[in-house]
Amino acid sequence: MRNTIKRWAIGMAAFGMLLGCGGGGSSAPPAGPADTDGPPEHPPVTACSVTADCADGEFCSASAEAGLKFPEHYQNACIKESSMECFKGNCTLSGMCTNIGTDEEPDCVPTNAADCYYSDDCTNYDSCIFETDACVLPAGNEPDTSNPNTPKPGVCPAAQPDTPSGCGFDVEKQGKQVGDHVKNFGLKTWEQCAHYLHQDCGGDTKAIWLILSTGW
Amino acid sequence: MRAEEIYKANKDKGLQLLYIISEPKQKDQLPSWEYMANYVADRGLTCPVLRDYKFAQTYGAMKHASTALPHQYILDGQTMEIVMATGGVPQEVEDKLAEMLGVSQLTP
Repeated sequence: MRNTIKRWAIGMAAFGMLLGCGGGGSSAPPAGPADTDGPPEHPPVTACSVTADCADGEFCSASAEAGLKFPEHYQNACIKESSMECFKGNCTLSGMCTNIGTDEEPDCVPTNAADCYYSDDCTNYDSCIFETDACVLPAGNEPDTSNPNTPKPGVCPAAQPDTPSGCGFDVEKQGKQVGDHVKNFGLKTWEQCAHYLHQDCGGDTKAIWLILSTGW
Repeated sequence: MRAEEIYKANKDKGLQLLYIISEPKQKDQLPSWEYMANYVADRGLTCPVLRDYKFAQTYGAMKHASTALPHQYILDGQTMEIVMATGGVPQEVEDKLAEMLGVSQLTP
């Protein structure tokens, strides 16, 4: 249990750092020892320029080959190559990549109901959308019903968190690569209704097309 | 929007389109519900439009497909197998969808 809490604490601290909110930063004083439940101590990350050479086993987050936009705390910084998988493995984007900047092996910790339940960070992150009352949306994220161009939220249909029986999803084949079966996960629609990826699986559905975009 | 046109023309043929938004015009910000609603209204989207800050949940489930936006994934609707993962707007996406739906073209 204690290890679970410690692991969670490390993940949450990394989560906060990666979001650039809470959890400490490069200028923050070292936190308590790692065997407490407090935020873990992270060694400073060496600043670098795009052309600068980082130490062996490190890369510069500002370099083109880094390939991803890094959180503010890690921009233009030398980062251990061993941490790269965490970044490229996208758990950075889920905010749950542990041990960045430490000598420990980076580890992607999935966001799940337990993390959410105990996390204050979901007030910033809003990933824990179904599991708990503990997560509160940031101010300003409620629908502006005074705006005539804003469609009024509809009445949500019942959430369908379970994979339909007619779906051929094979948990043994679950993975992230082409050829793997995608795990079920839930998001909220613009109408603030739960939508689970697997709810469309089976039946007459032949193809599910996901388009990921931003406003910028 | 072409994706919406394709969706409307093929949803009865077995196509589901999920449009996932991560950030508004400003990077590193969570899209507000107002932003989401206006995004849908402005584009006339009828498919499910979902919010996933920094694509966290999506990338928790699937490998980062590309550095080019939009990122696109095609899943087998019967098994949830990842059939294609790419970025930008390559023709291969539409070709694969047409193949899976058994149609010669996606829009009239």
